[in-house]
Amino acid sequence: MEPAYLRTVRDKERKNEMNHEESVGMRLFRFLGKVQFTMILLILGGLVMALGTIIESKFGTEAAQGGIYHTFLFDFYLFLIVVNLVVAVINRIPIQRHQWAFVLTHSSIVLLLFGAWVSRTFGHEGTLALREGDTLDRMTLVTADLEVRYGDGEAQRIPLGRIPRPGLLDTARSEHPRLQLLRYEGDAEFAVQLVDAEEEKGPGVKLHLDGKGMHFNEWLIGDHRSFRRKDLGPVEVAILVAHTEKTLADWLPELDSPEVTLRVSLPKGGPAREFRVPADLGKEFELEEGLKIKLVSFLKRARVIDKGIEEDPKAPINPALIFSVQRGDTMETHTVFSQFPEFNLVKGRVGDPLIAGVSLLSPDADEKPLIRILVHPESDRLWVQLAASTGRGAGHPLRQDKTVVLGNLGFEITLLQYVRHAKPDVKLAKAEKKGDGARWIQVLAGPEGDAQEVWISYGSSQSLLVDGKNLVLGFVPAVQPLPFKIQLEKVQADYHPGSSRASQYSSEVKIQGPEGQDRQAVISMNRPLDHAGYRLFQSGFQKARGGAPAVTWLSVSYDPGVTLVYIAFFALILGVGWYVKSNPVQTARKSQHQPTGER
Amino acid sequence: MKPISRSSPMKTPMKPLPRTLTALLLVSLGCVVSLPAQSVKDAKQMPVESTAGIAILSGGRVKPLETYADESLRFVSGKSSIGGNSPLQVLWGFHFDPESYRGKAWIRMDSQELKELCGFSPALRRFSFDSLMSNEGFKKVVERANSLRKEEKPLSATQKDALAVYAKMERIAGFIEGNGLTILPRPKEDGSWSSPADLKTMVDPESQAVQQSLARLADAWKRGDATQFSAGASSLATSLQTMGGDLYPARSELDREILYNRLHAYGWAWKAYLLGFLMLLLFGFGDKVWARRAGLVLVLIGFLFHSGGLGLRWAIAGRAPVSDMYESLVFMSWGVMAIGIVLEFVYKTRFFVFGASLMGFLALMFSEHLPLDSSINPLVPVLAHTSWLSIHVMTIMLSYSAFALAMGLAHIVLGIQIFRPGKTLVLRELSSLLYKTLQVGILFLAAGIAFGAIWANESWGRYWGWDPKETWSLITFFVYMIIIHARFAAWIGNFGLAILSITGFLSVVMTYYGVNYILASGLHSYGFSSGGMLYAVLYGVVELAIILGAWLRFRTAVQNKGLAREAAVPTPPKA
Repeated sequence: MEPAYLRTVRDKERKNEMNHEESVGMRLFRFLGKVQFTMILLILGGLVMALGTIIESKFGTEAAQGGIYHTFLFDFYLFLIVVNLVVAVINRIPIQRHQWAFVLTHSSIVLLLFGAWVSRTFGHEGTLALREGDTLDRMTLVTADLEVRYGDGEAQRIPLGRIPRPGLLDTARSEHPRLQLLRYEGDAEFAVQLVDAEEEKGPGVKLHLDGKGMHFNEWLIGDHRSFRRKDLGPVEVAILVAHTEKTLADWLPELDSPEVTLRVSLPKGGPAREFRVPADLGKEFELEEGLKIKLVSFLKRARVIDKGIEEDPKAPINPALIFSVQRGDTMETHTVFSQFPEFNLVKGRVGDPLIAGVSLLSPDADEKPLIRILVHPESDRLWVQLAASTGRGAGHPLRQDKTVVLGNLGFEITLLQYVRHAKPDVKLAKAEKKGDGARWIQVLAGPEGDAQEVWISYGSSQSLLVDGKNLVLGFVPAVQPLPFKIQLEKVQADYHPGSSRASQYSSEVKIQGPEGQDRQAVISMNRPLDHAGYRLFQSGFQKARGGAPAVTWLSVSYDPGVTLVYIAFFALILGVGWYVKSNPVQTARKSQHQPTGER
Repeated sequence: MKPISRSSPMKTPMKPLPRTLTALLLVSLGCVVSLPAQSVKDAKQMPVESTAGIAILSGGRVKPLETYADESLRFVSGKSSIGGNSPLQVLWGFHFDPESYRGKAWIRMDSQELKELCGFSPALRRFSFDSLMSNEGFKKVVERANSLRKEEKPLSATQKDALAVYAKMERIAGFIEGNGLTILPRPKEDGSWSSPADLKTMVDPESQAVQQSLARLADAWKRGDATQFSAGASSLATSLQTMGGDLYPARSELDREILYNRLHAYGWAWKAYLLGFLMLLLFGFGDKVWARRAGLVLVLIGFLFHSGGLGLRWAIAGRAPVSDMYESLVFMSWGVMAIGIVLEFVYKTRFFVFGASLMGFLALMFSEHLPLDSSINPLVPVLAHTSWLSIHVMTIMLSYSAFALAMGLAHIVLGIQIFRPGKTLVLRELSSLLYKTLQVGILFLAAGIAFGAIWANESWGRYWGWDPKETWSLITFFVYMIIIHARFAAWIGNFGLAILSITGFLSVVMTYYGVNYILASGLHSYGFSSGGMLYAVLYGVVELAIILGAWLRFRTAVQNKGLAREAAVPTPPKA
């Protein structure tokens, strides 16, 4: 047994079909208003919106806005919803009393979407950043502009929208060169990638260095003079290609005979004594009257264990020297490390200093360390070596994505990319860490066939020479003049007692205009100011620090569509309430088999 | 001693404490805990409740000391009483007798990696203040984490855990030194109150009076003199009141909060709901009117406690109690009961109270056992100074309540389908009620979305921004629109309505909880921790079993008119 209203619609359909009144076109039209179409739209919409939230959580708000919500397809989808609702109402003409709730709810949604369209087309929203004392008469919009200045001409602004779309830009001035937006990246940074060079160029490596509180991504190419060696501050990096195997062997000696020096200073002062290793190993020396020192043994790759240290051929280079100090009858054994001076235990003992200080030095210990990448002449094998300028030092094999610890510097090095014949390619790529990058546009400027490409980041400009004249392109936030001037007199924050949680931000402002509507007002969070059709909200605040005055951020909104939206909300709630009230519940009475109608 | 590679100090594996040492540590801890308390220093003898009503300014709000002690103990140990000590006993114990209390293993550490780094046995859950203070491994992690934080660099999970444990130690240190007990209503520059640690610099007569009272308490504690302690507590309260004047909260305000703390209103509420549900389940479906009345009365008693608790919380906080996850969950369970009771009286069936009591009990019990912060906190600026917060959140929560109630009714439908498939009329009526509940939910949801948009427009000038939370509330609206329209177009029958009411609630869960905890940190992150995953799978399996069972019955039952597709959606009155 069908409900009454379904029956009405079905009857009408059947009648129309029987009368052949309905052409195919008409039936198609009627379908647009059917609940089946609604279901398709609802399911589709739900899935797309869910996808949008997933994109937003993984790739950021801009990706979601640009990829889903602000696309032409999504606008078309919303248009289809409007069509569905409007035709659904038309299908039910003449409207009967029990269908008023239907008309109310469904047309309120149409009104809602219409209001949203009005807001988007005719509204503006932006921000005002004011320091105490500043006056502004224009606000910065969330949309972007391309500012074009050609030769001596006046600056012209081309609106790019919130998310710039590739395409030809309408300069509207015939003397301006042709401008085309090629690409937009919302969160990108420039990165060097190594690509294969056609010519016989040298090998290139891209490295990741981590240490001393910093990290670098660096690239080096074997035979570009300027790329062969780079000074990174705390360390230098260089790449060298061995010409022959023998050269390589020369550069990677095993440290059989390390030249390390034991430097001993005495409490009395005077010049430090130096002993060479391995030359002086095993020998005993007199430091002063009654104080003798003997170099017992040297370990190249020392590893600390419970009872002391031992040589471990698998451990990284960690030179250590064991020596003994004899004074009269007492003899003590000590260990000193070349790379960990803080663990050198020989400190002056209170009341009885034997030795003031001891250190084990490798040659050129004070020079800036140099990390060298050594490349085999023929095969694609690499080594990383920690060397002083003498070029001697043990090397570790360097393999793709494997991290090598350069022990004594506290550096780690990872090979990111290796290309045998490389040239650098500077590419704009998505920022490694979400949000770290900047907004960039790529513009093609100039006549077809002779145009130049340029990348411009948000907030900056680039200049090119086109047809002999200077072209300056700026990727800047759009600006909207306001019909009034606003001055920030004072801004302050109130805090919850006894905590650093702010309880309120407020700005005292003076507004002039339009046409003599001057006023003083206070704008605080959740207490916006209405003026001349604009609404100003307290949105952010920065305390005065150092010499800089306090700054307040006000967000500004001009929205002619919002009234329609509010009316639509009211109508929708009323309509749904009507449904709740009117649909009766089927109650089971023991005496009946049929469901009751009324309640 | 090992030379530690400077590049990655944490990569040097810490050798685990040798077994004997661990055993020694355990034994010594055990000894400390089970040492017969020396008679003069046992907190359990002291009438610490007499200090419950002393006001303290903490967390941006003036509250009774009992609340602060309770929040602190929960924060530090995860429990509301420990080793037989109440929170106030712990607080004053640390303050007056630090030597004994510092050795008690009460500070909770969950991270296994952190326990390894400190050389603690992974089987232990709580550690003493002293053992953490003297632990080199712990100190190193905390130092490294602090220096990273200063440089604004990211911290590893273990470092964050270490800082969390360190914060617990700082809270205890606040008890010991007294600087955490900001009970003196003498505001400093930043607005915070002073503490006993500041008394050294305060020489006016009011401060002297406070000083004397505190000395009295300390003395009473040392001598184990309960009467003296009570006297000292009341003189302390009086002297603080004198010091604070207008700044000090009224006795009634403090008592009100103490009442709220001790009443455990929500606990009584869900127990009453559970009893009511069982009463109705076991006896309410025959002709036993007494059972139905009793069930209803039990539910109403629970609802009274529930409402009382919410009302008290509203008064204490000075705003509607819907500002965080805990509060909104408690409110949602109240909403389930409220809607259920109202609809019960409107339609005079047995099912609304039955379904509501089940869902209400589950939701309220959930709120108590999830690791949610139940303390009352002030609001951030963006939420304050507007009534739209309360209106929007309460309306949305009521819609979730209605959908939860609908899910409860849907389960009852499936339950009847499995166990009593012949009850056609009952099933038809129940399905009709289910449809009505969904309509109520849609009404509140539409209103809630509208209010949220209005609030956003009044607050920052934009009524819709496709924020994930906004978008998911719209998706939920779409989901329930699909259910309603599918039933209207007879694409599904009453059986399908029940199934979809259960699965549709997933959208509510996603909007309410998933957006914050799953999306916010990326889809494949700790939103599904190992524990959470287990519960989610268990829930899925149980639901699937119920749905499958009901469907099988539906297919094989001969008399199936109750849920058949032809059963009409209730018709509105003719024009």
